[in-house]
Amino acid sequence: MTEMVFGTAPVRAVEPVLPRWWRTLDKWTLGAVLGLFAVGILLGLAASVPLAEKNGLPPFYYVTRQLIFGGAAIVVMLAISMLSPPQVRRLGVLGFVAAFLALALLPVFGTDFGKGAVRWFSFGFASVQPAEFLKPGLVVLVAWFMAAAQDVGGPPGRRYSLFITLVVVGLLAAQPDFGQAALVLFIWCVIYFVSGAPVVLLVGLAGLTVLGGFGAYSGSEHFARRIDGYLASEIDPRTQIGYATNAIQEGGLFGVGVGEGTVKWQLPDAHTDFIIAVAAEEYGLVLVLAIVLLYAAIVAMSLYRLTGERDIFTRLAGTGLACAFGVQAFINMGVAVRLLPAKGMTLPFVSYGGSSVIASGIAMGMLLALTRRRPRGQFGEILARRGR
Amino acid sequence: MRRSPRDSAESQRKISRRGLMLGAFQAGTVAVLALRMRGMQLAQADEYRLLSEGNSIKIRLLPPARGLIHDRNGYLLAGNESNYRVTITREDAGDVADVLARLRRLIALSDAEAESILAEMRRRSPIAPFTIADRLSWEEFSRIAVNAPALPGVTPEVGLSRFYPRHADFAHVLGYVGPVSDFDLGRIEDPDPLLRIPRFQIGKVGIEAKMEQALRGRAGTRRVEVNSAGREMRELSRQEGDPGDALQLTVDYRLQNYVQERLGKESASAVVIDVTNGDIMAIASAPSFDPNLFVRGISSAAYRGLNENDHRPLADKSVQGLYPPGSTYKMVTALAAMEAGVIGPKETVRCPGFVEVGGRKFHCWRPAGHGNINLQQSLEQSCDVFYYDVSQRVGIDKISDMARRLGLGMHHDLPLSAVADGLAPTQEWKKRRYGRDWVIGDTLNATIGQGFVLTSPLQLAVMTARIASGREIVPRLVRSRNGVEIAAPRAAVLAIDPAYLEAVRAGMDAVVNSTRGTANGSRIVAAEMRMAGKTGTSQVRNISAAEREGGVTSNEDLPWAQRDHALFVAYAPANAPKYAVALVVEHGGGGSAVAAPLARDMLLFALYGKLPPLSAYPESQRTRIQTQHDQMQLVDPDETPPRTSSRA
Repeated sequence: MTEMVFGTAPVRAVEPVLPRWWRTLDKWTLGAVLGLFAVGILLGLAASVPLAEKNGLPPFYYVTRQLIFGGAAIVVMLAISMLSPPQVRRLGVLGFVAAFLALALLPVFGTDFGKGAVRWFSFGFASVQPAEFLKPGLVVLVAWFMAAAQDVGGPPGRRYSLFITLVVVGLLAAQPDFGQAALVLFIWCVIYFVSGAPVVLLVGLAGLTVLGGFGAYSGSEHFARRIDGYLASEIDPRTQIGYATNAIQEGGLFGVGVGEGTVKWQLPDAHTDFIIAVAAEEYGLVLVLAIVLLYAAIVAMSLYRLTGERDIFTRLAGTGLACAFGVQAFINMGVAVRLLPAKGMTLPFVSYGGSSVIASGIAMGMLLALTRRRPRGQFGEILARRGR
Repeated sequence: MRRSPRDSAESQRKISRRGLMLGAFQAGTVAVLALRMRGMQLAQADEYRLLSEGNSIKIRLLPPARGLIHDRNGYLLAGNESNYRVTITREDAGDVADVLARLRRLIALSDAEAESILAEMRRRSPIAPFTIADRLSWEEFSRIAVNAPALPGVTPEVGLSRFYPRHADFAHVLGYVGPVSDFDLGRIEDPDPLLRIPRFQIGKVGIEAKMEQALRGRAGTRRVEVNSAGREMRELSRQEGDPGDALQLTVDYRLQNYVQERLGKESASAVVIDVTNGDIMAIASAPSFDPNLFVRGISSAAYRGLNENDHRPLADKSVQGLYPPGSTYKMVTALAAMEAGVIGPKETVRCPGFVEVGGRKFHCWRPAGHGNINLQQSLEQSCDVFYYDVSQRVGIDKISDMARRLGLGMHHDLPLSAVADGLAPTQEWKKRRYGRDWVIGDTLNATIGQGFVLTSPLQLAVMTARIASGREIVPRLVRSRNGVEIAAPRAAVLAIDPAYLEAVRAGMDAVVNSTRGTANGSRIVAAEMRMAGKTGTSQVRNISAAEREGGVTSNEDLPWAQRDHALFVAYAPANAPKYAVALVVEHGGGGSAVAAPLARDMLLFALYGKLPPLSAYPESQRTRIQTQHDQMQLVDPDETPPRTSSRA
């Protein structure tokens, strides 16, 4: 005899794991992510050839590598999406601790690849950028603290999470990587905002960010040069941004044609930071808007699904992950169209880079796990709490 | 963990509301991004719409004009000339041999040249322009331009090329430019995109290389629409670059010309320096070469000729050549000895023609000796034994310290290639370098400017200027940059007792003006131009005891490479010094016979600013000097040299 509880989704007690996972998964987001990944490979076919040529490698060397990394990323993403929220939390916290240690050790063991900022660990065959892995972990950690703060008699989670975030921001700014630092700070603000921050405080924080920006401008040559390039009304066509602007303008609606673009030969970062310029030049506005739409779809779909979620941690973490993903994509593309000052930030899943794509896979896996449809109502809450 | 139901519900609503706000915010950013993209790609498309399918926009660099270099009076030393050349792009040319045959009816190309062009082109990329001929005349250039429709793939171009109107006179100072090599590119981190322009020239040696950043300028850019064949259809926008900075040197081109001419075919070097402010008036190294050869691409035979010449025309001996200074070093020893208190200006030492130290005989140049001799006489007659004697009481470290205070054995920062530091040896240095202790014989050798001591002509000129002025004169070669004077602060007073400097100057005066002085034959008789100096003759070989027994072989009987170096340092006017000169003639023989007359002539030319009147010379020499003047081919000081950047 089966006991029926009204107001809950039917719980199939003995449903196998995989079908249940598939049934509760946000398939739209998964589809969009796979679409982005495919776009990344497509663009990589064009954008990474000059680099391979310069380094004396077979023309599609970087595409092959990206396929391998991307495959790994998708496997990781799917595996993580099977976790329950508490498991995601555990994974996130552990991941944060590991990535934080790696970040702190950068000044000792890291390398700058001659680019003026120590951001990578080099292992010869591959390099790892700890900041990429740190972000999903930090989101989860902050969400956990914030959620705990909502409990009666809970810890002062906001203060703790702010402290941790500021330490991370300090480490990132010291590299210097002001883009990631700003992103991390922004994510904290988003989570704090959603968890119910006083609006006055947020305004104050925005003011502080501006002040900090001015401080960095006068204190760091690396930073000032990029801002100056942004502020100059006349674009110097020999800078990265100049080439990118040129390429985007030349693309038009349908682009100059596959493989016909020239920007990839002139831009050293055509396969990473300025991949959108390659897309705009070769495939035109059509593909660019499609890419923008894919990112927007992922963020919108995730946020929508999270509105139906009752667990505070899940909502905060999910919102944070979705926003981090969306904002990073926005920053990358905003730079290429000169809405934002030049910043080294990758386009998740599309840009070339093992660190970037695998870290994006982890973050997206967590998001998928959090947005999976779960039993609602009291009974569901009880079920969910059993995992704590 | 429990939370109050009311609180929980409130928090839930808040979260939902804020989540929605966030979603709206993100939607806004997406809209902004999409609009911006559309704006850039479509709204401005009219402006960038290509004339035809298959055309594309290219960014072309406009090479800046290289900075001009002038002498102290504003005469052009390095300029740019228009270079008409013709290039061909194989892909556009179709049948290259056919096009080349038609081109040969317009410009002179030998069969061999045409063959090598065809062979070379087959190895190059079909899309990169290849230069068929450059330095065409205007007539040839316009013939090609007029016939362009019959010559597919052929482009007549105008470029700027470096030109040195003074040819060999400034070869070592200015250096020369040449095309960027892979080696150059490999050395530069983040190379200027300019360097990748085919045939772009950068400084290779001398000031051209050392001041490359200032001289190069900044590239301009043009955005052009090109058709599928790569031919330019129209210019969309243009941003002019900045030409390189103009430099004005401290050198006087007429004096430099005279000095170079006077050194002639000798392997020699001379530096004339303004004693009051350190301005280098002339800095010459002979034999010289024409730097224009290198700009145009020197033939391998001509290059081999320069490279294998035993007089080393390619080396800048004035700053790279290191020589034992010989007796010109005696001023250093004398000052160190007076400062150490081991000898007073009037004390005498007896010279029997040699001293025996540590079982070894050290000879004076005069086998019979000089008898009792004081400091002034020791300089005047260049007695070696006097210095052997006092140096043992001073010690090498104090002598070398004095040398460094006078500008020897140290680095002088001039924008020239491979400026040598020379050597003022110390006990510690020898221990470090050779792992052996300093011995007293080393001191005796060093004290007369032999042994380990090494100096460049530039350093000797600085030393002479410092002794003459009593100030820490620092040499400088660049006077102004882009018309802005480079400030030269007045040099500090030397930390040497003026009385000691005065004693040394009196000795140098006697060298030239006393009848027993070693350079008396090269005196200046014009009273207001009186010269003071010091001869030096430095050995490049050991004289064995057996040879000394049988009489030292005279220089004329030795092969060139074993003869002594002739040196002379001098300043004038003796009572109010204006210019100092240091001169080395490699394997020239004696300092008094070979170097002193040359140095005197250079000082006189510098003082008068032109060929000196015969009245400045001793009466007995005037006929000879007149002949010498008549035979010299100098740049006529009245001629107005090219001052503009272009000759064409």
